[in-house]
Amino acid sequence: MSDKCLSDEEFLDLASKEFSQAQPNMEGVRQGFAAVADRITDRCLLRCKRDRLPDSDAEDIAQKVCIGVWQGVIKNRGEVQSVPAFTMKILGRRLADYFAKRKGKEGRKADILSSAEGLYGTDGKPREDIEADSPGPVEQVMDREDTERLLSAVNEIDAEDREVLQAVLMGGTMNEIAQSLGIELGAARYRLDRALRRLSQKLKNSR
Amino acid sequence: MTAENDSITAFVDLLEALDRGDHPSVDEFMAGLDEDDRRLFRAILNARSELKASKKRVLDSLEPFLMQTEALCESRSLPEVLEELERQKLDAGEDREDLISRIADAADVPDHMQDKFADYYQKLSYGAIDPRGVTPRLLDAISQTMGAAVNRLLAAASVPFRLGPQVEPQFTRLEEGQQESIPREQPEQKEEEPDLVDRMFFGDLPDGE
Repeated sequence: MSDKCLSDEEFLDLASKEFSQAQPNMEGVRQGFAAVADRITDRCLLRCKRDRLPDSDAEDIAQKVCIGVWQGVIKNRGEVQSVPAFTMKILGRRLADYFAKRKGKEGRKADILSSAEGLYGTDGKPREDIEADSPGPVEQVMDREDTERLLSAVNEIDAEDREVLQAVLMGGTMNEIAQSLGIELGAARYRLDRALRRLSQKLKNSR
Repeated sequence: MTAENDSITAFVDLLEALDRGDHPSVDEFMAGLDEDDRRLFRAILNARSELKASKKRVLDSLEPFLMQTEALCESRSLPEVLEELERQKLDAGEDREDLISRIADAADVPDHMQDKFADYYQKLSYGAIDPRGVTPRLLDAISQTMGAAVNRLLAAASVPFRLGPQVEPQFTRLEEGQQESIPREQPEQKEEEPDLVDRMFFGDLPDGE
């Protein structure tokens, strides 16, 4: 896929322009979609993670949402009004379907605990093939709870802080974050520092 | 969770060092922190690591699905494509019978079988013959005569029904017996073996179709 990072609006312009041609350059449109898919995946994974979905289910939903948006772009000949709005609409529908199929709150709790059960063998004894310094089941559940608390808190802070924290959580480097926000590296670093400070305070207050 | 200013700044430094691939010791860094800071920073690093890996898996798996979706959304059934191609030729002043005769010639159909070929072709073009049974040899002949890309015809031949806007093609699987209700033409029932034209129009259909 292309290295050129198009914004959602630039991509929709490109798609609309290509679809107005008799022979649209579909490969070019598909390559342009790479940056859009990247952002859609970020939004979906963060949301699914916050909703405590297992990784494989979150990835499945993110993939389906990307495909759904792509399908919408093709069927509407590039005339999609807003990629984020369209993404959230499809994601909302996918999550509703997903939770409708699941057994409910107790089921989600059981999933969290079952991740720690993997540390025990079928005989109920701790598995010896796990390294001694691996986190134990209690630590694993604590880590997971901390991660979930973190993601909930990130979702509740100011949009400006959330933007930079989400970019870090999705693995963006400081250079990439600065580039995507259109600011200097020093400014990106300052914004992350400030966002972490506010996040830390928020978590402290919520305890 | 609390984090002193200097520990947050140090954590931002750690993130930058990790991004640069400097392999700083995360354990050593964490060891110098109080419990709340350690839990916050560890949660960030855990979430980052999991999300980054998940994102890579999603994006790596995406391209074939995008191409498949594209093909399914763009594909139309063979009768629709034939209709469009014929219209272009007729608008350009060509004669329909002559076109069919040229397709038969391009497919090396002997003269005595041309009427049967024309009959089958008419049925194919209005959807009475399942396009999935059409052989590549016939599609090649149509491609040459009509000036259409053979890949386009192949795609159209394998998508017998136009997908409605509500259909999600990439995940939709038709149940057995759900596929269609339109009665389809079968090769003429005869005692003898199917001839060249029969095989050309029905040759690739699986048993029982």
